[in-house]
Amino acid sequence: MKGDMIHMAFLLLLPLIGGLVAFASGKTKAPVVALLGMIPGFLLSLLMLNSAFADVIVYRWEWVPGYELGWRIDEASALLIALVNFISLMVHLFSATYLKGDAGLNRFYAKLGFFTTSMLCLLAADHLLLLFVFWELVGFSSYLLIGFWFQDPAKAKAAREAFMVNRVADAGLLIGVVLMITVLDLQFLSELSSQNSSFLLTLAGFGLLIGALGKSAQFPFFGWLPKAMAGPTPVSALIHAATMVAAGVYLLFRVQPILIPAVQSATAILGALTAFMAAVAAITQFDIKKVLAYSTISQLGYMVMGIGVGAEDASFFHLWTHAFFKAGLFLGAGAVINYLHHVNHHNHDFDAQDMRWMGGLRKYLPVTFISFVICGLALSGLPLFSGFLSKEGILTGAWLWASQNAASQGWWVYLISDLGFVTALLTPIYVGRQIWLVFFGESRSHMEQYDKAEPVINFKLPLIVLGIGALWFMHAINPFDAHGWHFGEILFGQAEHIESNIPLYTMILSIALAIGGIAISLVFFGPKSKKTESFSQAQGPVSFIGKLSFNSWYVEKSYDWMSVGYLKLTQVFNRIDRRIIDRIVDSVGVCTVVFSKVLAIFDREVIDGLVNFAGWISKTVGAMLTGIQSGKIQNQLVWLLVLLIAIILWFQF
Amino acid sequence: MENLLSWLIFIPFIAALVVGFIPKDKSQLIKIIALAATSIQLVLGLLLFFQFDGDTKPSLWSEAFQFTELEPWIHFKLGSIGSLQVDYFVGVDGISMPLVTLSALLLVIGVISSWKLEQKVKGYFILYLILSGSLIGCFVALDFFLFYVFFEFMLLPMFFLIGIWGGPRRSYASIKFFLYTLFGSLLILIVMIGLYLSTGSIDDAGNQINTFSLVQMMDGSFLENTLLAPGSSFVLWGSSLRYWAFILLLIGFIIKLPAVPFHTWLPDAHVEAPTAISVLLAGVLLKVGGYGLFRICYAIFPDIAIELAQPVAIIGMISIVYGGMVAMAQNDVKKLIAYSSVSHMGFVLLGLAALTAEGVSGSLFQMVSHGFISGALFLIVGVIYDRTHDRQIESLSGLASKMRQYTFFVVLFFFASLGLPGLSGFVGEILVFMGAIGAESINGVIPSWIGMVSVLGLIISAGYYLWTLQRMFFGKYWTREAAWDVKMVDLSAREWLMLVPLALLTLLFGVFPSLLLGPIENTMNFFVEHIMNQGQTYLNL
Repeated sequence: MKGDMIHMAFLLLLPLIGGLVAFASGKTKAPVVALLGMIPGFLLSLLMLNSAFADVIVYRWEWVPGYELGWRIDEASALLIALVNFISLMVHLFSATYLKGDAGLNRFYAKLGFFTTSMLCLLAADHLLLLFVFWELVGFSSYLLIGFWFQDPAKAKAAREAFMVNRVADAGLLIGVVLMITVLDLQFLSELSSQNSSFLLTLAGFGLLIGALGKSAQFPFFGWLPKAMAGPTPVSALIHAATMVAAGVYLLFRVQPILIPAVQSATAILGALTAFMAAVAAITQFDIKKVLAYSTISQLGYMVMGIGVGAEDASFFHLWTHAFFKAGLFLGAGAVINYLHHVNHHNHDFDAQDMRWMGGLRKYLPVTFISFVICGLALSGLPLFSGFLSKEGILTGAWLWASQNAASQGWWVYLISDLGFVTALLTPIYVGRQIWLVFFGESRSHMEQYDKAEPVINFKLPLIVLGIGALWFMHAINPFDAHGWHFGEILFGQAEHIESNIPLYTMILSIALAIGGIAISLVFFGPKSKKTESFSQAQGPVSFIGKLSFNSWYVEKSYDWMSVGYLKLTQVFNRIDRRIIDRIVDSVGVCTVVFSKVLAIFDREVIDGLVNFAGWISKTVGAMLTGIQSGKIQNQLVWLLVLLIAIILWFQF
Repeated sequence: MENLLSWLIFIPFIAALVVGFIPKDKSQLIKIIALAATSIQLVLGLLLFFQFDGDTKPSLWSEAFQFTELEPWIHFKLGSIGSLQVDYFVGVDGISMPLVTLSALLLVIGVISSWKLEQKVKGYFILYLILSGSLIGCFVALDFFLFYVFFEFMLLPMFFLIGIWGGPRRSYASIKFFLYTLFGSLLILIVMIGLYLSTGSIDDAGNQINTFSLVQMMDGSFLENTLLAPGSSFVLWGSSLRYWAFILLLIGFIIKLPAVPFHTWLPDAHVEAPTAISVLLAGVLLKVGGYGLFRICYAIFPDIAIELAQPVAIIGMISIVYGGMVAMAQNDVKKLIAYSSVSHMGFVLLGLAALTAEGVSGSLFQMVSHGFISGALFLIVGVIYDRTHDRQIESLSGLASKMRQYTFFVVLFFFASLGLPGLSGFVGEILVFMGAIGAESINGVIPSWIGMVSVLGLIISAGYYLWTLQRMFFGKYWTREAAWDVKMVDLSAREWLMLVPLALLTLLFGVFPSLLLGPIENTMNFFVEHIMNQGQTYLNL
């Protein structure tokens, strides 16, 4: 048991220790040192995976009097811990080249290590409060990494906005967590079971849901994720695609037993809505990373929807497959951006992330191209790729849920699964558009004279490995069986396979949608289309729907309006504070002074007048009597004698 | 160690006396004496912390105190009224012990922070040392009269320290501070006299012996049918005199805390006070208000504490939300931090009002944690002010590129203040939320919506801190005056020395809150139990 604890402590802390040592060892050695921390960490997590499948690891301790906190690594945690370690390892490797020469490279690795440890701890936390702790730390390290290039005001602003949106959602989570702990006495994730519905349970459920919507960038909170793209691209691959944003889905997956039907429905609706909205937004973006950001939001929407419709096993599976292909896509985008930066140095100045300047890159970056296409097809949901398996599971789950609930809840439940299918059509369209525009056709930034392809193993290895990870056989034997996941049985057992009789038509429909979407993208954005020829001069869309898509439904703009409004409100409060509350205090002071002045006048003219009058009398009398006191000894003696006689006479009678 | 508390109180007074005999041109010697005195205080304070026995479970307040010392002080007969009896009675329990240690720590840091002072050094340190002794005295006094003497004794040095060594509007700020606090202490004085007349015992001869002993007042040894005895027949405007006494005390102490709407003296005092005095003001002096609420307002009037829990919690909630929002609108960093103090002290009020073990422990934890964090925040402002003599946010930008170590501490303490888990601010706030939101189902004294609305404070504080970071520390490096550029050097060794202990403590208590909550657990549980039981008993009389 004790060995397990040490094992776990090492597993959780190694990335942080590696990062800190890397920070101390200076920017040239930092990447190597950090990697030396990550590799054993990854191997340990594989060991842990092995032992967790045999035996769940639990550790509890008293945090404050009366409250125990606890770690628990079960199968699901161990699996995700291995995943996070793996992606983090790839990103560590990739960043060494991507950020080569950056003055803050050692700082970068310290932050990356901090993030990885926080994320691992989040997955190992069993107590809700402990989960909240690392939930916040993950957000904080994400803030640090988004604002890594803090000298750029726009990036510093983006980091703040991303953190703030998360913080708003976290307030909801905090209320949910506190209600669960103090009122409902549901403290440990592993001990949750379905409860009798009550007002507080509903409230707690919505609180948890809000927190999850924030972290997993769901409507209405999804605006922070596109802003988070200000961070270095490998960071986006790790945090904003594969791991941190999945935390919301993970939370919902864990607390799913206590979510009452109303919360479940809200989860399904918001997930489906987000999947659709973000897919629409992805279609018109120019920034290569923004497309991927909206695509991530959309895919997370699928997962959230899956939890809402009770297909949490499929959601978990999608979380798993998505991590590989989305990290692959982001790192591919990173390789492209890195290359364009290189060109940029020689050529005129342009935005290295703007797809209007790309095109024809398959000739220059062949490995990146192949990896990107494989991952893109997995994202599109084409058979033989991993994404098909898991997405199919969610879509089927949604369909079955709708058909079961239509009678009791009304026809609208079909809208949810329909939104899922519409998104399944939109996804290949924006993926195809991106691949055509970036890798096909002719170069739009005249990079013909440069032939520097991705040179180093640091880039190639992660791209190849993640590309392979996007193929079906890494995850299941049968490319068409959504429930054939290697780990599915271990995680969920046979009993959970309620949808084992998959209706064939949903599968045929989604394959048709994927192929159709790619065909549509070829027609509109393929190398032969007219749009592509003039693409370098393209401006933002002009139609209403186009604008709605390009501005992502004005969600981000609405944040700006709200923050301006809030700032004005605080100024109003400030004025109230200075002009009213403080003015009252000052007025009391002034009144006191005035009152005392009045008293002073009274004192001087009346009371002092009396005193002066008395003084004047004594003075006058004194003056009259001064004649008596002439200062001559004999006179004094006479007066003394008179006085003496008088006194004697007084006592006599 | 014998008479530990007396040494803690009187070492600075002795040192002040010694400094009085040193010629004023020997400023270095004066500083060394002040440093030595406060360092001894710190050692004693740590001794107190580690020797404090947290295992005994009191069932009466008279059993709750440790390190007690009791000497008769003022005794004279007042004919038929009885006799006036004031004792030198000191002792600590789980409420005062952490605050004493916190004060001892911040007092040393304050001396280090004043090390570069050049004008009127002698006067400054004499006043500083008098303040040091009075502060500790305030936290350990168990005799109301003694408490009041120390309470008043703190005011005077503070008034001069702000009024003489302060900024441009120092006289306005110091007079405002003085009068405001004096007003508050007058309210306390009224209740003190009332309590004196109502508390005591009757000896064998049938003579009434009144007492100022806080312990007896807390344990409820009231004389029958006196002014402030529970269930007495004295009524004013339809409510018992106890009710009004509670309100007077509440106002008196929340002026000190401060809570909205009695907070406006604080930003002015902070903005004008020198750095070290700001550190003490925010770090310790505000806690005297919180401590007074615990020790006097709540423990002596448990019945009214239950009755008025909801209004008190709402004042806390308003302070949290309103204070934070006003902080957002500030351009002067020091003022921003002053308003953030108002917001964070609101948690103290909210947690206390909940009257659950979590809420009350959280409230006390928040006081200690706010001591570290706000102390450090004012030091941080001092770093900038020392270099530029300017504190406007828009005067500087991109400091992170120029002063990296400094920025590290700024980020650490800003995030500690906005409640990042792993740092001490979070523990206090989460416990308060657990208390405030959970109270409805535990003891029902406050409804949970008050706690839920207060959660807004988390968003609000993130708003102003992150915005300040973005404007001052990130972006391109720029200073309003070109001449400042040469002065913008990173932290000096002296500044490190002040910030590192606070940073370590913030981290330590953030990760291992039991270090503090363990020793005080029994006192906290007893406090809550006592208030709920005795309060109910009083209400039924």
